[in-house]
Amino acid sequence: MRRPLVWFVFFFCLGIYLDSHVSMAFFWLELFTLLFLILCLLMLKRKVLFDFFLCVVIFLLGAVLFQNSQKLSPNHISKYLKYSYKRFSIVKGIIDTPPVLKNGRTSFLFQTKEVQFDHLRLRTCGNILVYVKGNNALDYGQELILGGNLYRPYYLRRGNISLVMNARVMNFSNAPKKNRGFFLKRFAFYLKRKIENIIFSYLPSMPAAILDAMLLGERRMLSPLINNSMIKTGTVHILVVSGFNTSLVALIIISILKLFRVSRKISFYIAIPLIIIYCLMTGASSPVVRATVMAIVFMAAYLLKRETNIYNSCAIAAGFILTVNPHQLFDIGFQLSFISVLSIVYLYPRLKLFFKPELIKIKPARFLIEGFLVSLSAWLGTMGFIAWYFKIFSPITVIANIFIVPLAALITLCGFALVAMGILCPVIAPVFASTNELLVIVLLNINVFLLKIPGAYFNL
Amino acid sequence: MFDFTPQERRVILFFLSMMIAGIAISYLKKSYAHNELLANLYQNVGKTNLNTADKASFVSIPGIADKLASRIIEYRDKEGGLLNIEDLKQVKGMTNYRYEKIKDFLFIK
Repeated sequence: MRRPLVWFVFFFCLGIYLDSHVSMAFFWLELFTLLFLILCLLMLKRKVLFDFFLCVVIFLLGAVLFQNSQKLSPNHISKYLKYSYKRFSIVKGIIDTPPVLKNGRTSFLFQTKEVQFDHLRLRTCGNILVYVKGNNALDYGQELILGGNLYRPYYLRRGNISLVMNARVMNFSNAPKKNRGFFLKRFAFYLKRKIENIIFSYLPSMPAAILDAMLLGERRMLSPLINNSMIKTGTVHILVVSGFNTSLVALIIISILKLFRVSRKISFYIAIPLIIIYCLMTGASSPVVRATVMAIVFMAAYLLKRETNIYNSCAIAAGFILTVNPHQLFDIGFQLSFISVLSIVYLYPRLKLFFKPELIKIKPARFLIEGFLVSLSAWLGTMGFIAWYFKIFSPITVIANIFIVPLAALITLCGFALVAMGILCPVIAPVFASTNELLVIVLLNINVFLLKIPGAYFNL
Repeated sequence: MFDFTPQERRVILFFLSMMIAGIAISYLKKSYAHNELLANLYQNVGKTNLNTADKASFVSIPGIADKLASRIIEYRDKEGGLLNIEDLKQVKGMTNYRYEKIKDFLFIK
């Protein structure tokens, strides 16, 4: 069996899925898990029975983990607030995400530590979403005391966040200068700010917003019009940071190191922490975490001189994401990310066998056909999910991706070059900025042209 | 089905038992945690003193814009200070809704 992890993750997901639909007491689930674990121990020497009980244990483990993730501590901030009830409160805690300024207000996630209601100060835990009027020069990791109305909006179901506060910064906590955030995250956010400054200082707002989305996954400046047109052609994945970007970053790092005659082994050791920093910079969404874990598995396998299997690497990435947060199984980003990778890995070789592009002698034509087959494999795998979630069916996706994905890769490369020049040699940076601008305009025009083709997309 | 060696099986079982124990401990910790009352310390920390605040402090309160802040200061100066938060209702433009929204951000000393 070359892919045991795939089965592990399959049963693990099944456990999470069933537990989300069938409620069972945690005590009984844990008891059954322990019971089957003991049975596994007893059947250590009997292959078939051991494997069967192992599958059951992993299935139950998924269910137990999901139940545990749903259980909130009595200290959790959302336990202090009834539904649809606003309550003035003073909260002390730490800023958990980089603050974002939009429409005249700053928003961020706030990791709470203490809360005060009606003169009672209580210890608390859990994150809340905070909005503060104006630009308050806040930073990730700062300890603050906030005051404002805490409420539970009906629309908010973002993972483990259930409360919102319209606040004002009341006080910087006792140690305003001491940043309490995770140092690697702090560094990643510092780099992100630097890169954004370079992008927005050299490019006009529209291409800058697109490049910001492509390089850093930051979509707050992106026009909804562009976003919608990309959804219709099925190419919106280039506007979010995905596995594509992570692999490109890894490739750039390794290529640069190769240029300096650094051995492959050492370049992998250097690339691993750098792609982790890139993952943190872009907000560590499911697709980026998947790609980062898969890249690390591949590099680690090379360093440990072990054989790699893409299905196993995918399973490790899925297992890691779900162990940290089992709710991700129901996240559309998680589903689309894994489905697209798996369908490319599974369908592309089969389609290649069927269409035989290697028989085409003209290189550019062969490249186009191969691009078409990759695009077709991803489309076949994801079209059902996209139709279900976005109520849209876009046959143009297959054609659009052949042109837009290579162009997006070029823009991303040019974008990284612009950032590098912005730091190393700002005099040359405007040249790269102009190229970037031109490429972004070409990309948008191709997208508009494809949208105008009759039958490009159908709203369901 | 999986073709593991006996040693691999032991490692897997050890790993799984650690996970199961960890989840159970985490669940129990959440179940038996208590609300911890810390103190009754900072009643007015960060709230704005109606009688001393400047315009910038008023504007930082959600629900108070530039104009209203100026009117509050004007009213306060005219009256020589406020004795009660409810006096704010006398300020032009202070509706009941707005008063309810901002009163918790203020105190009088």
